[in-house]
Amino acid sequence: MEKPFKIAFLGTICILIATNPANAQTKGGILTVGMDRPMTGFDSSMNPRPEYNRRNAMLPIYEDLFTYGKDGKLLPVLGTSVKSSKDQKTWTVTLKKGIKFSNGEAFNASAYVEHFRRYQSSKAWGFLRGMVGPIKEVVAIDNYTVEIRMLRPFPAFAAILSNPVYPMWANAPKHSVTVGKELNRQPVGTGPYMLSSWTPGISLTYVKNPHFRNPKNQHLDKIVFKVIKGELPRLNSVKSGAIDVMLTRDGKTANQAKQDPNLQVITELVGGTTTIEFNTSRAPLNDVRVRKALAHAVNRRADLKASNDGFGMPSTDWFGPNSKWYCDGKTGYPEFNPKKAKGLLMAYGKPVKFKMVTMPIKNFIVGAKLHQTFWKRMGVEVDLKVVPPGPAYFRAVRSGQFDAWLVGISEAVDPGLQGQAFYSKNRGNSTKSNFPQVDIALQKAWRSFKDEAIRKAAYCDYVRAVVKQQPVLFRAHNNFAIIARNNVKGLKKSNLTLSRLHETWVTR
Amino acid sequence: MLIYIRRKLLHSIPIIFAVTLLSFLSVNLLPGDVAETIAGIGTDNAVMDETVVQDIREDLGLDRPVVVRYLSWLGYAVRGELGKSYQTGQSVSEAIALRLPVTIQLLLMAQILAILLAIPAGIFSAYRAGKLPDRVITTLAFSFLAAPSFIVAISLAFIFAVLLNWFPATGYVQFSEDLIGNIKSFTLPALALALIEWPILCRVLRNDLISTLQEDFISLAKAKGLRPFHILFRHALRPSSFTLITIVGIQLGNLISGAVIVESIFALPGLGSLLVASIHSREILMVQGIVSLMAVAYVVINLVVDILYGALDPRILR
Repeated sequence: MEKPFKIAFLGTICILIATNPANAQTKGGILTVGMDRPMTGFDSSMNPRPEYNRRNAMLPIYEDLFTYGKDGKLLPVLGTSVKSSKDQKTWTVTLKKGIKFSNGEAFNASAYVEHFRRYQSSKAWGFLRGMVGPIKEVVAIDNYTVEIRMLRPFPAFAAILSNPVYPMWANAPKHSVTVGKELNRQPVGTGPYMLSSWTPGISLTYVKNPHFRNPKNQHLDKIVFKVIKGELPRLNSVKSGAIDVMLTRDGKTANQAKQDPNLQVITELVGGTTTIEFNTSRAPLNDVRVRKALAHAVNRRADLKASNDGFGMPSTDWFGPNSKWYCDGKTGYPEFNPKKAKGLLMAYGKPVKFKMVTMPIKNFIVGAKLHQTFWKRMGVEVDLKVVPPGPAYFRAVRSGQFDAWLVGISEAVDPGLQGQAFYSKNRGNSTKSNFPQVDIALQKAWRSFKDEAIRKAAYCDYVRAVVKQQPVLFRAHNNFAIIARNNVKGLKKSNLTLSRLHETWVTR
Repeated sequence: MLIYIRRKLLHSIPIIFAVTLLSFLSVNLLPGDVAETIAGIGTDNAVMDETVVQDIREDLGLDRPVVVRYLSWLGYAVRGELGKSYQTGQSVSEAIALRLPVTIQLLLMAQILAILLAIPAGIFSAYRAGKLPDRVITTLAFSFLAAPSFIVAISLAFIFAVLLNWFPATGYVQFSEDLIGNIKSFTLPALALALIEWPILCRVLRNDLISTLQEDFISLAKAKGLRPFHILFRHALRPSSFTLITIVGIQLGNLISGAVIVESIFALPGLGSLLVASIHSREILMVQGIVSLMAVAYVVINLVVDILYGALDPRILR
């Protein structure tokens, strides 16, 4: 009798300890997030900047139509179903009923009609279309059914509907019309939080959306995004508890944070890649031997180490290992082999000298200078020029003055959004590529959309065709990190550099 | 006295005019096209439409000559209209009004801390002139004087916020919200500025005190058997503070430039951090508004010092 009594006694103690309020995780609190850049606004038709601070500050307010489950199946969020026409030119989305925007307006098909009406009539549409595809028009079939009509078959739209693609985030339609330009400062979405105050350049404060359909998922009482410029001040702020979370692309900061036992660091190997593209229409880079030699001459691990403290991995195509479109590194990308590089240059037989342009961003400047050094060892001379990011940079690229340029290819959700720079018939063919094999492979990748496996095989054939001609050098897939104090619970890995911080909670 | 003040005020008008003109020109001399830079912000990997650039250029009036733009800006500025932020739509006056109290509190706290450090150190240094304590204080003073403000600020943040966790590394708590929190959020930034400021005050006071301590009335006090503490604080300090007070006024203006760096490091939402952010994002109207305000503040502080100087030494009024 004595032994069962002891077990029962110990069991009771354990249960008491486990249910003690001091040990229970209370969901709630205020989450303070450090932003690297000030918020520039919520209306993407006025302010289409894709940088991650802005997108993350928008995320608590808005929702996607669908998301993917762990098994890769489509899960409804604001939409209930999606189907495409046979030619994949028309996409029909059925919306959930009974959802309200944070101002109480009903969520329905007219929200998307109004949303795209504003976008398509804005000057930013040319820019936004690159992210949502060739949308011709958006029509409300009934209150909860919306039809998105494309200019051409567009299989990539399924991925756009199910990923956090910010130009898809709709505002309350009546509110959008009423406030006009002020929508940039007064967003109204269906998400779990809503903007309560914004002091430009200082902070943004979010409170619970009273109309959110699932209050149980609104763990936090408040979210505050504070502007703290610079990696070191932000890291010090997380370490000292002045803020709870920071997001960064900087490898040195993330690696430093990993050393601190009071911090948690969650990294995402981001798809997309940093690259160096070549103008293949004129000497010396019109010769594939020279382009191959330049690829063989570079130690890409050294480039990654120098430009971002080794935070990421050298890339072999546009998609990284986290993407279903990743070609498993089997694209035939040239290995670091200085001997081979010298041999190819010898075969070319003429001095190699060209002009390269880069942006004044640490990763790009360091990368450009390192490539210059590697190539100099092979006897290749490169004149490097620095041009600010934005239109001036892309004008410099298109001007024909430069033979090579550094460019970052963002995380695309589908191969259908890739390849514009290497398709001979495309206006955006900045590399002046004219390789029939590449064109054929790309057309195949764009068209074979009925079966995903065939589509992926076609896409990887396209990447191999590009690598064979080498109009581009792949540099690296960079990591993105969420650095948080240990008392921030429920943190999940980011997706496309978007972190669902509003789904966390803080224990004090 | 009134004539003196009026003369000084009249002198200030062309100075303020010249300063605003120079600042306007210097903002326009920043490298790169303003419209293109604004369009390029946050688009590191993306191509922006050229029409966006043209829109920005027209909205900001960048297609007009600089002089025309300056006169137009001046016309509005004298009526208190400093324009709006291109990116957020916030008015420049509103942004300045929001951030000015933060900068004023920072400067005042920094100045008080600097005086609290400088006076005891200066007195002790003068009392022990040429001896070990004087040398130690002098070495310390010159070390801080030589240290760049960002190094001092980062070191303070690392020691007192990250290692000891006594103060927040960044952030700002409003005075009305939490008094203790407010003082804590200003302590490290104010200390960072004060540590660079105190050596000058300390050296000035030390030198003046050394001269004063050689005066006959001090010898008389010593002969009367007064304690050194009494002699230093009651008899020597007051006549030696004349230069110190003048320098405090002038240095307050210099502190503004230090605040630009320190506010950014400690993420204090003052005018300094706003200026840095506005320069990065080419918010020309915001930059112009802040620079002009700082210039006016500098002129006003110096005017007040001049007036005080005149009041203390009537010979200057002639």
